[in-house]
Amino acid sequence: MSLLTFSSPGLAIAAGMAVAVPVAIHLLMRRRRKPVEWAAMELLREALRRVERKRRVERWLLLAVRCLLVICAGLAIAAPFIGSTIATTRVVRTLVVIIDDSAAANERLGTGTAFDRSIAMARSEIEQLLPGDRVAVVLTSRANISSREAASLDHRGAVQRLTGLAATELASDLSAALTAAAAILTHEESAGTQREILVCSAFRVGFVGGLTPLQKLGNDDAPVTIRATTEPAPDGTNLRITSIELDRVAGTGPGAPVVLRVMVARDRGDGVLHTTVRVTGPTLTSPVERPVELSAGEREHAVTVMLSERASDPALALRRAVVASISADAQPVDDSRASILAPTDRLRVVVVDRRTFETSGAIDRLPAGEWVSRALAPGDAAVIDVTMTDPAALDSRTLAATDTIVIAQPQLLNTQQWGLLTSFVTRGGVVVVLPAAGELVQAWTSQFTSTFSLPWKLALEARDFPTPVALAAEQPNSSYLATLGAELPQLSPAVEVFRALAVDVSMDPTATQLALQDGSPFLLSWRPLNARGMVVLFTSAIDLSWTTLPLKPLMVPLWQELIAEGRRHASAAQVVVVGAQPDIDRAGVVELRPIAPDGGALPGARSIAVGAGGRATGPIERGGMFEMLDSSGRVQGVMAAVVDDRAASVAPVEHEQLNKWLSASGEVNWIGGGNNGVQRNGTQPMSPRQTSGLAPPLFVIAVLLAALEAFLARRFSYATGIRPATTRQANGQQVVSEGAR
Amino acid sequence: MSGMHRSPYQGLAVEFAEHRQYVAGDPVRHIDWKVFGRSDKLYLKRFQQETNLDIHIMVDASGSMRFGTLGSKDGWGGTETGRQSNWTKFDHATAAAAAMAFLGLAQRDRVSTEMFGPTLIAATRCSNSQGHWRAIVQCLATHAVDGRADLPRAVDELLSRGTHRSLVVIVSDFLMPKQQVKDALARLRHRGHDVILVRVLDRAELRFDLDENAPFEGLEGEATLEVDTRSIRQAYLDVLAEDERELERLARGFGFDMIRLDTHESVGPALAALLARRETFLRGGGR
Repeated sequence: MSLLTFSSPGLAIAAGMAVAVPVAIHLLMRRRRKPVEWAAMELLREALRRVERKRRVERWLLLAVRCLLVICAGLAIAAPFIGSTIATTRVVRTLVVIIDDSAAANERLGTGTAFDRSIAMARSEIEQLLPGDRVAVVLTSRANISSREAASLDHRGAVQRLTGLAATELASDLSAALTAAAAILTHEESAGTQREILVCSAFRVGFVGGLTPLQKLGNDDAPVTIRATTEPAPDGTNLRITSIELDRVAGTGPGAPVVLRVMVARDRGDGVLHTTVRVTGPTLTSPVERPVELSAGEREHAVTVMLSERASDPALALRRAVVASISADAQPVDDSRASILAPTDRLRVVVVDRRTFETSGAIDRLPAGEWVSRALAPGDAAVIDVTMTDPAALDSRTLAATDTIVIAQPQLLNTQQWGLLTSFVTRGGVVVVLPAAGELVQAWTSQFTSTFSLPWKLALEARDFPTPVALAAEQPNSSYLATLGAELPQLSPAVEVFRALAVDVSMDPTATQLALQDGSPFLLSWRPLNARGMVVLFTSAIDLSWTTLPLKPLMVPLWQELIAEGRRHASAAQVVVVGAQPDIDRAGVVELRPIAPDGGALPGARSIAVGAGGRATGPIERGGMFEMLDSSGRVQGVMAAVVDDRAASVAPVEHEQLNKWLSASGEVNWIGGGNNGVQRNGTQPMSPRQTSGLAPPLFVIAVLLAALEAFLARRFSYATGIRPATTRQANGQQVVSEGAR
Repeated sequence: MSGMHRSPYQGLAVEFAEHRQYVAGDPVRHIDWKVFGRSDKLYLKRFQQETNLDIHIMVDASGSMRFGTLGSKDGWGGTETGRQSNWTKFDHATAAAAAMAFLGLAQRDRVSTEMFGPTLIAATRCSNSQGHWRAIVQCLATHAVDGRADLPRAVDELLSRGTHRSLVVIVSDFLMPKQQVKDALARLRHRGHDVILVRVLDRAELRFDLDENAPFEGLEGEATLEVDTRSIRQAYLDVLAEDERELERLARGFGFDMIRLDTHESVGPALAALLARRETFLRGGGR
């Protein structure tokens, strides 16, 4: 389709309007003339009659030439071109601009941010596009929801869209962005164009992630040129808060001081770094500050902070959360982190085991579920609610009111129940699985590994040890059982194991929490991908025919610690990563409302609705604390959103490493230098001032028309040889300048 | 009473004028028998009577005569019309008329002036008395110049006063339909008057060398014309030349004399040339 378009449509419009200038001048000159009194009107009329037709033709011809001259000159300056002409003079471009708007783009660079720099460079590139070129914008934080429609001819609209953007606290997904860009470039509207992708980013660790291999874009028939903005030099150091953990409760009862351990890590900068950790929260009596110094080379530093909470209040108990922050540095996004303090209400544990009708109460006949129940609730003052449930009765309702599930008869669960357990773990629950004590063949293992995508290989049959094997005195350094660390060397060797499932954990060596003397695992843990909860596996059933653990002192603290971990996960279940669309496990919650670190309102912050199924209707887009409100506006709990540490990292990446990584998608040309870079290297884009196909002939035509106009104007003015003999008086009459009388 | 002019009435008069071959019907008493005796051919003797001349000077006072492009200067005189601004065609016409009247009175011819526009506006009696020239000048200088000229009507009114054969001088720009001029001259010719046409035009009308495009407004109420002066100049000059030729053809057709005056030039040389030409013509054999 040969549509006439212009490099400068404004000039074309101006040219069209300028056509009116000669006409307007003509009319204005007519209006301004003063009449001349004349006697020989009949002679004049006769003369006019004789020349009128000729003069009319001359006037119209001259006016037409003048108008054409204005049009041609204007159009030539406006650089018009026709679709078919363009192909012979320049290649139309389709440019997909990928903007890094992830958490890493919040990095401060000079007076602006890395995101501002990316926007400026993208805007500059778009403004250099010629009419007919197409442009699309893809954001790396939302690449998977980017439009796959054709790139637009509306450059101004694209620039306006850039103006309205802001950096997010979300993770970057360049791979998805490239996929979206490829989809746009392969749209039929972009067929035959020069296809380009411009990646605007500071290319920090947070943006490149783990340098996951990228897909190849384009092919020999339709190559895709990739240009990327050169990474700017780091500006300043950066520290980040990597975790907030409950270290201990210093005392008993409600209102006892809480000791938190705040981890501060170095993200950028090698020298000595100073900062101040400040912890505040809705239930704290006052914020607490601690100065921190990271010595040269120290990567991480733990700070313990004792917090005093206000007097116990049921309403406050639901808002027990803190926000730790450090002094401002190069990356503001990771300078604060929210966390939930452990809930003070009782923990709920469900033990799934088949009920026995054994009434003797003999210890050697006690089922695994009974052993676990006794270990969890050894006395009347237990703070753990233990419920025994038959495997057939395990359903979503049971799971909704549970923090930890202990599966003593896994072979009795069906596929649907395994699916429910998957959701349970994803939401933050802890599932503890025990081999079936009465089964030699553990047929459930394949279902178990596939359900939770375990990287372990479980044998189908339990292995009988010829001689009992004790737990190793030197246990792996497990964070899971950290609080038992000091006592394990004494408690572990007393436990003997007669039979156990063989588990190959070579793919995940860190999974082993407790090991036997022969090195085989006794207790394993696993956190499925994108899940907040955990899966724990005992390789030996809690049964005296398998192990002596139920009779040993380790039994109670081991299970109590398992549940403590469940407690932590119960609170962790209320901590979501920014970008996730959380499932709220508390009934009746309809809204997530952002709140300030001190619990006050956060003006301008957008609330997120919670659907009927408990899932938020949109992703969490900012870090901080969110109140969970029910339909009547009452607080049902508080949720913390944390920015992904890695997504926010502004640690620099070696350019060679970047180039190699990005080159997997195609040939990369790096553009720009410095923080506002405009210097280029590599392949240059087509000059925006390149003359269009129709401009030169239009200029020639305009020049010819100008010459013709000059000739015709002189010819039609009949000025040759006439020497004006009169001038005009003020009264309008003509007066001879010479005294001829 | 004998005057300085040859009478236009030829016949039996004091001074021999010419011979003419006898044709049947001529009175035999005028036959020159001496010539018959010598040549045996019959010729009639014709005589020219010297007599005082009645001169009627008709001056066009129509609106078109108000046009003029020559700036007036102190001491030029002129009429009320021209004194306000420029030296108009009417000024020039009255100057020429006054000069001719003066000459006529100086040789004791009886002179009258008639101002005409749509009709005969004013007239003086025909007289050669002392002080009559003053009356003529006063008449020429004090009347308004306006309206469309109607020459045949003015001539009719002149002739209705019973004027006997005389010299009629018409001073005008003759920017009127030529049929009107023809009608007027035919009536004068019919009554046996001699006529001199004095055409007065402004130099701008003769050259049309205006350099600005402007709307042109007629002085006699004509519609305004949008004129590109440069572009129609040649056509205008052609039309003017044709008009001149047409007027001259009319005058010659009736046997009358005609001169043209340019308002930017002096009246004297043109009148002197006219009178000299007429003198030469009359001495060459009369008509």
